[in-house]
Amino acid sequence: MQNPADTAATGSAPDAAPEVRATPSYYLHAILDNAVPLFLVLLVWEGVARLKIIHPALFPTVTEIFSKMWELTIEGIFLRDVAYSLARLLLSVLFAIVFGTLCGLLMGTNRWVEKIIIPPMNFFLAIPGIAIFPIVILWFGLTEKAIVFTLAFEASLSIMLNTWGGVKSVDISLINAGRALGASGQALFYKVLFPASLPSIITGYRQGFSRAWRILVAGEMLASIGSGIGFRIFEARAFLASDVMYAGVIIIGVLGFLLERVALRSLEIFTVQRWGMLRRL
Amino acid sequence: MSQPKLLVRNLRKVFHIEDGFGRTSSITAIENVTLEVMEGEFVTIIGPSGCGKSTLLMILAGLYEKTSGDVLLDGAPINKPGLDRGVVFQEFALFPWLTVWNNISFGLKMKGIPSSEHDRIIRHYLKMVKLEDFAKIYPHRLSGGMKQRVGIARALAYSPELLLMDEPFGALDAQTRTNLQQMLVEIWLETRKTILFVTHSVREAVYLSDRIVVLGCRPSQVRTILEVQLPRPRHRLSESFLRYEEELEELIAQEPSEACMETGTPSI
Repeated sequence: MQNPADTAATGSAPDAAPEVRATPSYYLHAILDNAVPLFLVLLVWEGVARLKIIHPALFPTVTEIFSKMWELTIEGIFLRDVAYSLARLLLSVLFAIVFGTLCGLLMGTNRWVEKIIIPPMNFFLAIPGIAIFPIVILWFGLTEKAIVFTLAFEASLSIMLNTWGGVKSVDISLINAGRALGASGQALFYKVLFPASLPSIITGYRQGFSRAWRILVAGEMLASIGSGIGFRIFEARAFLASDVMYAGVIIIGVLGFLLERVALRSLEIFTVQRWGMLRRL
Repeated sequence: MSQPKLLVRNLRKVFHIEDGFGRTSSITAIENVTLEVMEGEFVTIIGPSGCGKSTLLMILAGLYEKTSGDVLLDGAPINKPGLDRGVVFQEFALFPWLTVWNNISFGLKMKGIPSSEHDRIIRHYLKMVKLEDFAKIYPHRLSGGMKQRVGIARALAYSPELLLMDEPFGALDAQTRTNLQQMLVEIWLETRKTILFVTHSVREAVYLSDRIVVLGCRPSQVRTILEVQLPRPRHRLSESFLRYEEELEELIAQEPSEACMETGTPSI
């Protein structure tokens, strides 16, 4: 109990403590914990690049990269790219969440659906989304649809697998309690099975997001669709604009990181972690 | 005392277990059990582990299907779970995503009790289990004893006809266990619920019950029924209490525990 941030973080006080709220210094700590190691990496990078051991065109300094990033940001190019990439990602993950969660829940509750879906699910899981991309392009052409379809394909399988696993592993005593308390059929499903499997479902969403994010960049490169971070990097290659390429890669990393840490991690903190269904280390 | 509240007649339960490689085996969990519970009575089922006492309770809860025989609550057959019974589980089985308050209101909602009354009812039962200050807490913050108190309040809140308790204090330490037994007796004296309680603790059975049903195994059936004629509150160290304990101990010991082990072994 040395430090208020610690108390907030571990949520100790086993018995009486009511709702635990994060203090401002908790957020400060959270940001610092993540930022300091990254800053050190950038520092080393800057040093190495300035030594010019590697040709500057291949390995520009951090300052060059960031000034390029800034330049392209105020010109609006990067903002546009990010907006496009995120729009594609969100749209496809949305499809994947609806489809994957529904399928997973059905599989977890219906024996026949489970039997029918498992073999194709495992088959498709073995295929990297990018492998079907050329085929998808044949269907949809070099369009947004092709990208969104591929991403949704990729993400929905992860979500489906995790949701199904989550429902299957719900503690039988919780199901019994739900039934004893008068829940059956749909009520049992919404009031017990779904919340009880939420830890795995959220894991599925995280996996779905990160898999889709990876495919997105590759898809934008292949589809050469005129916008998007992946496209920007690919195009910069043609002009040997290595600073643009590095800037693009950094943006991809930062965005993916923020999606995970801010969006999905928050979802977890406000649900399963608050309920103690997820252990805090 | 005319009609029993709960009547179990010639109950038999055979489990068919698939071992995952396409082979199935059968285990007879309950051979032939007949027993009656009167309105407002506190009856405990005791027996060596593996004698099918929990299975019996799960059938009464409607969570397991019986193989044959009759189970009647107020003359109506039990064949599925229902809100005329409250169940308290050994593993507490509280919903971690609901606060203490919402865990208790779950059954009220399912029973369709008007929400204007929830507040009064939940407060009443929280007070009964002495958890008034913990309404907004999520279960994972509670100690084992507190969790089970929520479990009891949750099962009582929608006023079931019969309270089924499956080794509810089995997972608790001795001290907490004693406290909860005392609390349960107080609750029972206040509400006069019909309670069917499963345990393997002799002392617990003598402390709580009006009657103790001793189950034996191979074939698993009622061996004896012991009536405990002690006034409440009971004192665990009084001479008469210890005599009952001894008597019950002997009744259970007559059953060689290896017999139960054999029942538990699947034969393919």
